[in-house]
This record gives sequence, C-alpha cells and structure tokens, in this order.
Amino acid sequence: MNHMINQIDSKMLTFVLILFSVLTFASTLFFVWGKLNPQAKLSELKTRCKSWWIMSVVFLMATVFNTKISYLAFALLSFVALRELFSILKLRPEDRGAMLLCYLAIPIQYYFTYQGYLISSLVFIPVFMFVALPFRLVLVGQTDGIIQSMAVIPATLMIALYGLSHLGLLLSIPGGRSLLFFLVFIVEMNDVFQFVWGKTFGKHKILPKVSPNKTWEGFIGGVLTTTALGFFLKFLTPCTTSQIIMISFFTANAGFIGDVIISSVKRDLQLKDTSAAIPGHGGVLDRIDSLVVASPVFFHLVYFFIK
Amino acid sequence: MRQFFLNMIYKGVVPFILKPLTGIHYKNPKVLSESDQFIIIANHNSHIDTLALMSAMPNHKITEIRPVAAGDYFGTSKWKSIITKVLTNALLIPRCCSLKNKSKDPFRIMMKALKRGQSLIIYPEGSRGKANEMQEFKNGIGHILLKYPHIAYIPTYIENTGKVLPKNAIIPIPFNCKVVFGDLQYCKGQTAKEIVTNMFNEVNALKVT
Repeated sequence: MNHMINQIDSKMLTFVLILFSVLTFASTLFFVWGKLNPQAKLSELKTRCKSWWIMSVVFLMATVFNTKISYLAFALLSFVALRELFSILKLRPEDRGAMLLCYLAIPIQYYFTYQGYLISSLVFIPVFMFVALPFRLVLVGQTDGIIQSMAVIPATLMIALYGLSHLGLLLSIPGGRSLLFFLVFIVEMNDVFQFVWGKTFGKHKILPKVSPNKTWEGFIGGVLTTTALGFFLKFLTPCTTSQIIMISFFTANAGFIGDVIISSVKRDLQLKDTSAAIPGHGGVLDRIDSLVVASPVFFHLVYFFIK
Repeated sequence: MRQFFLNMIYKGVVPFILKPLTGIHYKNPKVLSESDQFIIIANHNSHIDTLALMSAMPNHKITEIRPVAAGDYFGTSKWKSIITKVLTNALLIPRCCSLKNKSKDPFRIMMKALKRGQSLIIYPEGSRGKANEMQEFKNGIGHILLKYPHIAYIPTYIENTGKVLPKNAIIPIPFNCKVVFGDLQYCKGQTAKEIVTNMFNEVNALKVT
C-alpha cells in the first residue's frame, strides 16, 4: 500500500483533481440547465456525461496504481476495438485464420511495449505482421476477393493495435505516466471542445459528406482550445512552452483526423455507431477513434523533442 | 439441485467464455419474463446460439427451458447424448422419419414437454447454416402450434454467432454478437405452412433492428 501511494506524486494528484473538477462541472451544468429549462433535450448529454465518469474512473484505476495493470488494460482495449472492427467489416469466411493471427498479435505487441523494446514495438506490426497476414491469406488459397482482405486486415491491426500500443510505449519512457495522462486528457477534451464549439457557433460544414455535424468553427475552436489546454497542462511534461504548444496543436489535429477516418468507415458501411458498448457514445471504437491516430503522433513528437 | 447446477453453468461459467468471445448483447430480454411458457423460434448458425439463449433465461425458469436438439447429431454416442442432456437440458429428437416408433416420434417428444409446461428453444432451420443467412424453416413447429395455439412463441434473431464458431470450425474467433428478442406472438394461419412462413418473416424482420 505504501509503495502504491509513493507512486502517486503531486503532479498526478493535481491532474486527478483537474479531471474530477471538469466532470463535476459538466454534471452540475447539465443538472442546473435541466432544472432551468425542462424542455431542453439533455438526456443523451447526461448519459454521455455518466459514461465519462465511469470511463475516467476506470482509466484512473488502470493507470494510477500499477503499470502492469495499465498494459493489461490497453491490451483489453485493443482486443475490444479489434473485435468491433472485425464485426462491422464484411470479411470473407476464409479470412478467419488471418483474423486469429491479428488477435494473437495483441499480447506480443504489448509484451514489446512493456519491455520498452522501442524498435521491436515500432516494426513488429508494419514489418512482420504485414508479411505474415497476406501469407496466411495466400495459404488458404481462396483468391476471390483476396486483394480486399490483404488490404483491410493489416489496416485493422494498425487502427486497433498499433496506434493504441503507443499508450504503452509512452508508459515505458521516464515520466511516461504523466505524459499518458496529458495525451489522453487533451485528446478526449479535444473531442469535447470540437463538439461544444460546433454546437454553439457551428455554421460552415467542414466535411458534409463524411460527418454532417462537423463544422469549421468546431474544428478551429477545438484545436485552438486544446492547444491552450496543453499549454496549461505543461507541468505534466518535460517539454518547453514552444514545444508543448506545437505538440498539442499537432495532436489535436491528429485527433480530428482519427475521428473523421472512423466516421467515413462507418458511413461506407452505413452504420451510425460501431457497437452499443458505451451508453451515449456508441462503440468503443467511436470513443477511441481520435486516440488511435493521435497517440503515435504525440509519442513521436515528444520523443523527438526530449531525446 | 438441477436448477442450481444449470444456473452455475449459465450465469457463472458460460458468461466468462461468452463475454470475451461474443461481447454478447441482448435486445428486449424482458419479454422472457412476460409469459410462463413460450417457444423460442430462432435462426441457427452455431453451437453458441444455445449457450447465448440459455444464459439469457430468468434464473428460476432455467430448468423448464428445453433446447430442442437433433438426436441424430448429439445422440450418436451415449456419452455425447449424456453430456448434451446434462449440460444443456436438451430435448433430443430424431430429425427424420421414425414416426412408426412412438417413443421416437419427434412430435410426441416435444408435445409431451409442452404438456408438462416446459418451454422450448427451436431452430426451425433444422441445422446450422451460413453466418447471417437464413435458410427456409421446416414445417414441424407449425404442426405443433396448430395443436397448441394458446402457447406463445418469441421470434428471435441471433447475429454473428456463425462467424465466431461456424459449422465444422474448431477454433472460435471473437466477434460482437447480438440476440434480438421479438415480442410474444401467437400462431397466425390455418396451415402449418402459413404459420411457419409468418414466423420466418417475423424473425427476418428482427434482422434490421
């Protein structure tokens, strides 16, 4: 127990306080808003807010106490994301073997990140799995539609495993846990800021064919607010002011890109949500879509600056 | 004792396997408590179907639910049939033509269970088909409902289980699965064929929701 408390330093405590203040602020806001204006349609926002509370507590439980638990939690997240992707994509029955390989890659990839093997973590999927998966498909011998499977299956691994495993890589560098908090918080807040700016000032659609609710106002407002938030949370990172502004700016943009990539995939499959796992949010993939693209971008920017 | 044992299996052990493998999601499960006796009419793609349906049943009713299984598949050896009966509470019926031997008449076996007040799980497709593609329903259940029109049935659509563990596959692969229960229905139609056609349409209609 003592050991566990020692690990919780003052930076993290400040972060946890900020996180719970934000959540309390949101809950209070919706409660008061609902009382003042009973006609307002807040039920979905309230469900979403409740899910945020649960996700925040789960996230803290998985990261604050023990790093081993964090790696297991990330692996579980990758597993659920991969299962969700395979369930919505229309793959062939012949692709089962390759899919099994994808699931087996999860523990291997997280083992590399856990050990802090940087090069192995970075090349295992884009080099070795990208050889193994097409070969597995070739071994089945069914060539009808094999081009699509060869392209799609490795891509699912990049989305569900490669991107997310950078959360584990972050944990493996010194001061990584604060960086992890910084990353997850600004990326998720970026989603919230884009939503709030878009709802309040949104007029000009940014990608009407992909995401009809997204606007230029939401995008620009969100990115700028996130950059400002990154500046205020600088104490969680070892970076300088100009570095952290640049990192936050690019990470926010990457978050937006991840969001619209998954949106366009859903649009092609004529789905609204990837599953019904998180009340108010949709599937797990709907929630972590920005994270899977933003994590590698963030990791490599930080790595470049603090090396 | 039997109830405790079955609940241990279906509320204790099976969810541990089912949850990671299928992330199983039930829609409208409250319909199962709306009637004491019912027949579940579901599409069939995998052995997982029965596990998923049994896990959804209310605790106190679990001994009264009998999945109807093919005796010529699960009853081929003594051990196979004992394991099937003990673990799933299954009602084994022969799938073909033994109407002369009364103890092996599938209709008599099913009607006996219904007379005792038990509920059935029936897959009218007869065997496991391709994932998410429905085959034509067999007429048998129509003949039974003509004799017992007061017993309600629940059309049920099961999605994706055929991808997790299709026919002839040995290694299961995780996919998100969904079980959609329809509302309680009573038999509609004058002939077995009509009843069964209506059922097929009702199950098929759940596909989109």
